[in-house]
Order: sequence, then C-alpha cells, then structure tokens
Amino acid sequence: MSVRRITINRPLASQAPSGRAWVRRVWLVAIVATVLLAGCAGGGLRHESWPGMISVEGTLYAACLGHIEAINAETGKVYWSFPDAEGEKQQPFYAAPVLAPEVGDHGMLIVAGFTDRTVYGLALGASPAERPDEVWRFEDAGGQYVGSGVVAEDMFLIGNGDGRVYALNIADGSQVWEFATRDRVWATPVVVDDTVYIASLDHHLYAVDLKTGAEQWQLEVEGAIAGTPVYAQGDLWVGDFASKLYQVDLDTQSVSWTFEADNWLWATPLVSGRVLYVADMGGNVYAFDTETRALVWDAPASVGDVVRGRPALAEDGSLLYVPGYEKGQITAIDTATGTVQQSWGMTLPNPGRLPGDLVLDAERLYTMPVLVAECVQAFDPASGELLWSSPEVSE
Amino acid sequence: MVFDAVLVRPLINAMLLLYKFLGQETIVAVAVITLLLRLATTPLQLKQQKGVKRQQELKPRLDELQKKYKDDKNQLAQEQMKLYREAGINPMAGCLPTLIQLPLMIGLYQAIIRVLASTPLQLLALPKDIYHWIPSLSTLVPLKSQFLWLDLAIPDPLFILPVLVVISSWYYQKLLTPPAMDPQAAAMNKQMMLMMPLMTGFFTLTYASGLGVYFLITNLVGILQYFLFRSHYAPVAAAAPSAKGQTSPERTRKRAPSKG
Repeated sequence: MSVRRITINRPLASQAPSGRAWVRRVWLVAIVATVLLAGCAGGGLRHESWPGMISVEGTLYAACLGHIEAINAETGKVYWSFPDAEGEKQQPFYAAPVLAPEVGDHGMLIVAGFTDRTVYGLALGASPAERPDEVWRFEDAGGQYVGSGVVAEDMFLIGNGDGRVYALNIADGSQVWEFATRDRVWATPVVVDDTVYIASLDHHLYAVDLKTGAEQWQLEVEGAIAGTPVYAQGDLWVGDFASKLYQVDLDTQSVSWTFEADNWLWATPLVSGRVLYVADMGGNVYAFDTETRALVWDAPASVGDVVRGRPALAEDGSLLYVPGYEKGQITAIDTATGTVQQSWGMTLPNPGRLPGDLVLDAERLYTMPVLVAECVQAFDPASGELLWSSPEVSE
Repeated sequence: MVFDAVLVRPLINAMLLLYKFLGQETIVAVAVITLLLRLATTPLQLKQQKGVKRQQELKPRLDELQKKYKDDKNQLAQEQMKLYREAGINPMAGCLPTLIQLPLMIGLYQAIIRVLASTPLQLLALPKDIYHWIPSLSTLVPLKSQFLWLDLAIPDPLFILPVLVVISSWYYQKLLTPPAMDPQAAAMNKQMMLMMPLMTGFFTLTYASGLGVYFLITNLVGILQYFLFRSHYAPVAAAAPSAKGQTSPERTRKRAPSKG
C-alpha cells in the first residue's frame, strides 16, 4: 500500500479551512461561549441563599442545602436527614429550622423549602436520633422562603418572597391569616406581646395584630430592610440598605434615633445587656449603649470583609465573633476595647464563604460555610480550633 | 478586578442613576443604557461596515487575479496583498471595532445581571459595586423587576421574549451578513445566521429576562441603524453562492443600496 504525500499551496484567499471545518469551528466557539456563560450558574443545587441552623440541647438542626439534618453537636454525627436519600426530589433548604417544643409529644420542627415554596411540620421523636414524621405541609405561598420563621402562641409566622407573611396553625399547618407587603420579606418576623413586626424589602416596617393579621401601623424608612430587627429596651432596632440603623419607638410608632453606618446594614443586630452590636457590609462593627446611644468604642472595629451573618457573643461576653463572608474567616473582637483579638484564629486551609448567622452554644461555635463540601463546622470558641466538620471531608 | 472597576461598576451605577431619574422603571433604565452604548459605538460599527463594503468592491479584481495567477500561488498571494495595500484596506482591521465592542457587550451583560440581583446571594455582591459617594443610590436597591408579564430578574415563563429575541437576532444577522466570497464562507454565514439567534435565544430562556430585553433592544437598534446608514453597509447575503463560488449578481444588485 503506497502513501502519497500531497503538498497544498493555496493562495491567501483560499487558505480558509473547508466548509465542514468552518462549521466545526463555529460550533466549537459557540459551545465554549455557552459553557463559559452558563458556568456562572453552576450545576445541580445552586447556592441562592445561605443555610441556617439552630442548636437545641446538644442537637443541631441544620438546613444543609438539599436536606434538613439533625446532627450530634458534640461529634458532628448526622442522626437523620429530611427528606431521606430515597425520599422526595432534593430541593434547597436555607431558612433555619424552628422548634416548637410544646407541640405534640416531643415537639415539632418546622422547616421551609426554598424553591418548592413549602413549609413542613415534622413531629420529632423521643430521642434526637429518631427520624421525625411529616405531619403537615403548607404549599400556598407564591415565592421562596429565605428567612426563617418564628413561633408565637399556637402559630408559626414566616415571611415569603411573594411579599406576604403567613401565620400558620402549628398543629395542622392551616393558614390563620396572611399579611401582604409590597416586596419580598426576607427577615424573620419579630413578635412583641400581641404585635408582629414585619420588615420588608419595600422599605417599610409593619406592625400587625398577632391574632388577626390586621395592620396596626407602618413606618417608612430610606432603604430596603432585609435583616431581622431586634427588640431591646422597649424599642425595635433595625438596619437598612441605606446604611441606616433606626431605633423605633414602639409607643410613638416613629423613629426616635438614626445612625448612619459606612455600608449596608443586613446582619441582624445583637443585644447584650445595654449594648447593641451591629456590623455593616463594609466590615465595620459598631457597639452602642442602647440607653445613651453613645458609641462604646472609640472607633468601629474592622474585620476587613463583608459581613452579612449575625455575629455571636461569647458566653462571658468578652468576645464578639463576627463572620466574614468573602474570606470565610471569623474575627474575634474584644468587647471591652473593640480591638481584634489577634491570638484567636480559625484553623482552616479552605474556609469557604460565610454568609449565614453564627450559632454558639456553651461549648462550640458553629458555622455553615457555602461553596465547600462541608455543611456544618464546629470550632472551639476559646481558640478557633476546628473540632469537627459534617460531613467529614478528607484532604 | 480591572474589568469590573473600569467597565462593569460604572455601568451598574449609570444604570442605577437612569433608574432613579427615569421613573424607577428597570426596563427603561436597561433600554436607555443599551441605546446609549449602541450610539456610542455607532462610529466603530460604521467603520467596520465600510471596511466590509470596500472588500466586497474589490472582489471582481480579486477574481481577476485568481484567474491570472492560478498556477503561481505565491505570486497570487503577493498580488492580493498589493491590491489591499493600494486600496488602503487592512484585511484584519475589521476585527478591531468588534474587539472594542465585545468587552462593552460583556460588561453591560454583567452589569444587568448584577443590578437585577433577585436572590439574597446575588444581592450580597452588589454593595461593593455601588458608588456610595453618589447620594441615595443604595436606597434604590432592590430594583423593581416587574414589567407587564415579565419579572426581569427571572426567565420569561411564557417564552414570548425568547421568541422575539430569536426573530430579531436572525433578522439583524441577515442584514449584517455580506455576500459570501466562496462556498466555505457561505457555509459559515449560514451557520452563523442560525447559531447566533439560537444562542441569544438560549441565554434569554436561561437567564434573567432583563438580559433578553438587552438582546432585543440591541437587535432593534441595530436594525434601525442599518436602515438609517444603509449606504455604509455592504450588500446583504441574498443567496448562497453556487459551487463555483459565485453569488447571484441579480439578487445582490436588487438589494444593494442606491448610490448618491
């Protein structure tokens, strides 16, 4: 069999590839461009929000993206997942679960799905390891659940992306009332006595009757309110996207004092005694005396990162732990001086990102990082040493 | 990132300012900024089209050279380059306007996606893009995303926008495509005329409707520009060339703009 070598010497105008080659190249470019642009969206279950978690008597109930998980707080061992692996199609859970301890024999866990727009009532078993039973579902909301809910009397209250707050009967999940705002509700409703306070992205704070859902009054602020307000010393404190922190006098139903931060205020403020801590998205942390409204520290503490998650305060009140979103590091601030505690540091090579609230119990500080394989990480609050990760990821 | 600082952030803030001063309608802000960018790049586009047109005008002389030097390929290449030089055409110069326009297009695409942040994590990235020294820009966020049946932050559930984008994109592509010089180029033109509308349609189907609005307005303004500055454009690819690489002169003449 002979092989012929053919030398082709085409003129410039004809040096283009053949028609088929052109077509292949054009489609190749198109596919690459599509993949590059589509790459922004990621694959599988995408992170559209941040997971939440609660700690209840040695058990963590965590919204681990595709599941709600019950985790042993000491060891990180997962007791159960909802839905289970063979169960329903996975969908993201972000809103922190809420426990209604008085409902049923052993309490009820209420969880809200992000994309399936469904609230689930799960009856807990006698031990934390026992898988819960789904008792009811509420599927009537029109948007996604971002913020978690709150239990008040025999109701569960939760805001939704459709701009409404729904009050559900805890026992059976039936709707008691709903209240409509003009934009999404990402904040957890705050209940004080017989009134529910609802913060909305529509720039309003609403006061609603707990029993009927009837509006009592509303207050307009400059920016959208995405963070949950906090009740302290008879007033409501709330931050907005106009970088303002408002002290709302609930008696006069008006703003009694305003502070302008350097950046958006999204993290829920934290109150301890007379001091209120609040972090802006520029990484500045402020401490106020709620009675005198004076700044406690000479200058705001700086964590050098975006802060979205709610900080946590050490049990003895000496350290304030602040989650940095982009670097995924927690910064410990000395509450007496407002200085960063340099000796405290997380021991993580790949910390992910920390958009969510920190959870602290008597022994451990917990984070729920995103963009890494770990769902929950537990740290020693005294040193920042990693105690366990769930799931455990081998390096 | 330099690209963000130089292009995306200014576009985001410009869009927020437009939103603020144009009745707080997101679709108006997207439309106006698209229009402004199209107008800003019009001289470049016209220059590019002029280049394409002049290359088309050289085609008869290139054909003659090809006949004359069909047995001496090196000489043919030299003569072709000489012809281009004499005519003052750089065959690669047509790429420059495209190279300048492409980052603008990508920057605007990024800006629209970021401004229309609909989920908490998307919105989390926005504060660092906003110029906090411009008063009250932050108070505008999140932008109103409802327009008619559309939520500009999510894909169109009725598929009306993707269809409009595909049709307008195909027609605009058809207007811009010059007659093919040879069968290979004709095949490529045909693929491009099919691929570009399908790609933009796919993105409109997949991403925020605000991006689809941007595609639609870009196409409509492009079509309008074509008819306004028709004399600057090369005759459109009216028909596929024959196997011998000939375009249909009758069809080309019929569609060619009248001179003077």
